[in-house]
Amino acid sequence: MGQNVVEAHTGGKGDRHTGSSLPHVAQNVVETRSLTKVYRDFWGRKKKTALNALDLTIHKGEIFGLLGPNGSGKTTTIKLLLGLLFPSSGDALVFDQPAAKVEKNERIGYLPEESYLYRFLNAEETLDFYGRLFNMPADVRRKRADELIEVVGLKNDKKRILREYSKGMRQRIGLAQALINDPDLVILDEPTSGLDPLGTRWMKDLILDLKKKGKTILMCSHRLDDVQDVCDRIAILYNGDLQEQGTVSRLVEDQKRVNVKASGLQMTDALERELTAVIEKHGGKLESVGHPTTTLEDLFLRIIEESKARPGRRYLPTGNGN
Amino acid sequence: MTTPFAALILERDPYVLADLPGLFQAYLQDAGGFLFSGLLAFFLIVLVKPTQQQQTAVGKSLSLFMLVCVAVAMLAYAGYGALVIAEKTRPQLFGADLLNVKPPQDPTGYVKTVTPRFSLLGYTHEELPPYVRPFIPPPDKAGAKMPYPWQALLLSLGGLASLLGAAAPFAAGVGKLRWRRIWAIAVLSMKEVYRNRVFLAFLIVLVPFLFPITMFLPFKAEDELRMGVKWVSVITSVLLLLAGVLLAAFALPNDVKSQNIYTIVTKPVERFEIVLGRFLGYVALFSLAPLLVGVLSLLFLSASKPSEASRQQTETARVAVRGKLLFLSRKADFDGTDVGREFNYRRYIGGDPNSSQRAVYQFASVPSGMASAPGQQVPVEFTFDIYRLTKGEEGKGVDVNMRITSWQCQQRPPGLREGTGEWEWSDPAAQANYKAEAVAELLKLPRYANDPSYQGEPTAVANRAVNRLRNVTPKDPEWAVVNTLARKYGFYEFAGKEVFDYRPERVVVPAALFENATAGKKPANAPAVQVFVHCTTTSQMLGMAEGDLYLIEKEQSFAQNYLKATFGLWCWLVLVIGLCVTLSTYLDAVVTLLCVVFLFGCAFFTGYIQEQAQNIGQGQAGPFAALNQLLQAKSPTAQADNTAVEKAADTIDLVGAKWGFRRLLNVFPDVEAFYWTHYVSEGFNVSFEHLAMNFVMLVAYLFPWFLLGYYLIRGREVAA
Repeated sequence: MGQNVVEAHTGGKGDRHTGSSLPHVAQNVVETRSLTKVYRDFWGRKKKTALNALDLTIHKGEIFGLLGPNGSGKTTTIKLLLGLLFPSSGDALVFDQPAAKVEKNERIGYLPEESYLYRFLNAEETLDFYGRLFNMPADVRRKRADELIEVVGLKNDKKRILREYSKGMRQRIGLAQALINDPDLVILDEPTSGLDPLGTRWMKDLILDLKKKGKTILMCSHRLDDVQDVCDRIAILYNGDLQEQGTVSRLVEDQKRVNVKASGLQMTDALERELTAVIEKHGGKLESVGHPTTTLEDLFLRIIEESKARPGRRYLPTGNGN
Repeated sequence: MTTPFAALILERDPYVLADLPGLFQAYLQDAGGFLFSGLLAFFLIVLVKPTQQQQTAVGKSLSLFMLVCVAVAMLAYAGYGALVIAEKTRPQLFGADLLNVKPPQDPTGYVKTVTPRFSLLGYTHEELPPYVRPFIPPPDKAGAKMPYPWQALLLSLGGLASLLGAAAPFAAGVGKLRWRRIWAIAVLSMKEVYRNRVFLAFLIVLVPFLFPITMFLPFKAEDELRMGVKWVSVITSVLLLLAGVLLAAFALPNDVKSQNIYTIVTKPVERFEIVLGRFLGYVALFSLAPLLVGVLSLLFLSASKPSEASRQQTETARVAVRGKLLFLSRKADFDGTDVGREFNYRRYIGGDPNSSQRAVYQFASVPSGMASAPGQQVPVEFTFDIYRLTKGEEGKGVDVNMRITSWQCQQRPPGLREGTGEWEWSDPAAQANYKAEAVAELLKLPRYANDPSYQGEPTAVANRAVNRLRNVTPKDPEWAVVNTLARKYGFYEFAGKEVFDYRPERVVVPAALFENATAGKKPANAPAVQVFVHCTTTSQMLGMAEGDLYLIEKEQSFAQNYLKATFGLWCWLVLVIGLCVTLSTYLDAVVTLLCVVFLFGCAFFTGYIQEQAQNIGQGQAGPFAALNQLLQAKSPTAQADNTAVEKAADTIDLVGAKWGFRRLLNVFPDVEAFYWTHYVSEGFNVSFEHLAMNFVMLVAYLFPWFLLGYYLIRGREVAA
């Protein structure tokens, strides 16, 4: 309460990750060199250049975001890195191996945009199946599956077949299968797609948790706030071309504006006049002054938390209908 | 078809282990040729445009080995071509060539399919298979071993090199396959079928059909069980194959379409493990199905209480010893009469007591166990066709004499000027001794000792004694005499056996005759035992084919035989599942389905296609000549003008179209080799040797397809 924000110009809310959080030793986990993908028809005629000479490097332990509108080449890049597509030219290296090598998959976890899992299996069977694909012994599979089911919050639903799951639950089990091998590189394609705000927050926390454990994360998303919240570095693609690349804090920082936050005082005309004077004295210009607003996400999460703490709480309309 | 019931029609001999070398050579030549084309195409593409995709499919280190193999194969094929041109002979393929080499030109030509022979061993010209002999010039010195047929050798070498080259990346990758992953995918396939209730739906549809057809339709008493077996076999085959094709053809394409495959190929899974896992999953599932259906239908068949007549004919598993059939008479060129029936499976001998025409079944060897057969008797069973030239007597069949001899009792036809049609022993002294001993042995029996008809003029007595011995059964006291004589002379005759149209009949032969046949040192080319069939009813003709008469070594359990026959169905299922899974690594589900239905369906008509292709250039126009006729609006029967275009079309047909047909025939699976229902329904044992050969054939056929699938799945962009 009582916190004011003065925006002479702001760096927004994304100051959680700064350059200081980047790894000190830049060991490359993913590297692309002039990576190009041209889609062709059956006769070899060119249909579309989905990716054009992409040069990208992702370091160990960072969260890297791929941004771009639909058709910009984000998913193509991920598919090339996973070996689902073959490059038309250039190289895609993962852990210093060509992306088409199967061996590299031992250290990768992949969550597709839609959770493409077998819907006739239940959660336990799903994780057991993917564990077998990693040639894991039965006891290790079982232990790992139990842990992950706990982590993704599906303990009570582990015997239900996936056909009965909601989209959010499928996304959770999808993430669990991506983590079954305790991967060093986690590739997430639209990880918060289909999740409610609670789920979104849970997913973002989990991503940050993975980073803390030293994992490298490559994610692409349409939800810019998600990317801004969790990513260390981002690349922006458009029409198959890399448009921008760098740390989030550097890219979103507005050097021409200053953001001041203060608490313990109310907004008054006198205060505003004095602030204007100070700012003008230093050659700036006051653009706005007032009480800060929270985000809708924060509001939502706060209400849900309160509801959990006080069962029976409900919204009662005020007399004037507002 | 004139024999809907009661006779096993054998148009081919089942494969036996002895055929393996020949089959292997044919396989190298055929499969190797296909693989060579594939390898050549692959290297041409790589040379023109190398990509990471191709490198992924093969791997750099292997490319060199493959290149060497292709070079060796090219040299071998070039050498083969040079020999064909230099020797100016027809290409020597032996056996691998179904079109240029015709089946044997002997009266047993009803065996339409000839097992390929191994040509690399040193045959003498006489030892060469009869169907290739005309194409190979004999060596200068009679009886000398043939020189190696270099053409066939080079062709096999080219095939072997291609096979090694194509299989090298596959062999190198086998070490990376992990059973746990393959089994995981196999179990997934099984769970998918089970959880989606496909199997339940299948069983619900199937169960009504398992009830014996005799419950719904009336049949002759003796055909009840036979028709029941055939009905169940047809229905289960159709339903299981349909289910197998549908499931296997849609599995991989559905994975790609629903993008489930993304979560699999992004794990450390060799892509071929997916193909293998899917294949094994469905095979495991469909291995249970024929067994389950077999046991169920067997229970239903037993519960239907078939008639005694039908049980006698079908509810057994006779282990039959089959021979080769010849038609002989006093005229050297007699090879049976063609009575003009459209179904020319059988040939006929004329009926008359004085006819010298005989159908002779020759058994190259007989199992030694027959000499000690229980009851001192070995049954000979036969089912003949009667072609009536006159109406005959109502309700009466025709009479048949049957003479069974060992190799120690050679027979000769009567001379052209002899008044009788009776065949005589080649050794008259032995025949005289036989007659004398027959009298002496008979007189040892009390009932003949004082019989005045066996006293008097020796020739008449001897003839009477021989005639008496022609009609004895094992219950008669004379059976011991028959055995004694057969043991010594290797001769037995049964006279006046009445046979009916297509009705299985049986006579018993003294077991001692087989003792005679297995004793001593038999000349290499002589058959151990011969059965001479003589029709004695005037103005009737008796038709026979090779499968119509056989010796019965022993009889085994029908139930066991019934279940053994389901192995053939299992092979069919594995075949279609294998084809579906490998083709669907590249093709769409529906296209895969159509391809497999085409391959499997056409395989039933290979005989027809082969016949058409064989006739090209022998009075029948090939596809190009026919196209030319169409374009010129000429009648197919019009006289050829011998224009340049016509000659060119004929040449292309002879060389190109025949080649094309041959390749087409190679692509089709040999589905008929896996079909055993007619054995079971006619009560014949299916031997384990035949089943083992089925398995070998199955693996050999599927191997190149799996190689193809291996390359396709590795080179495929699953997300494209």
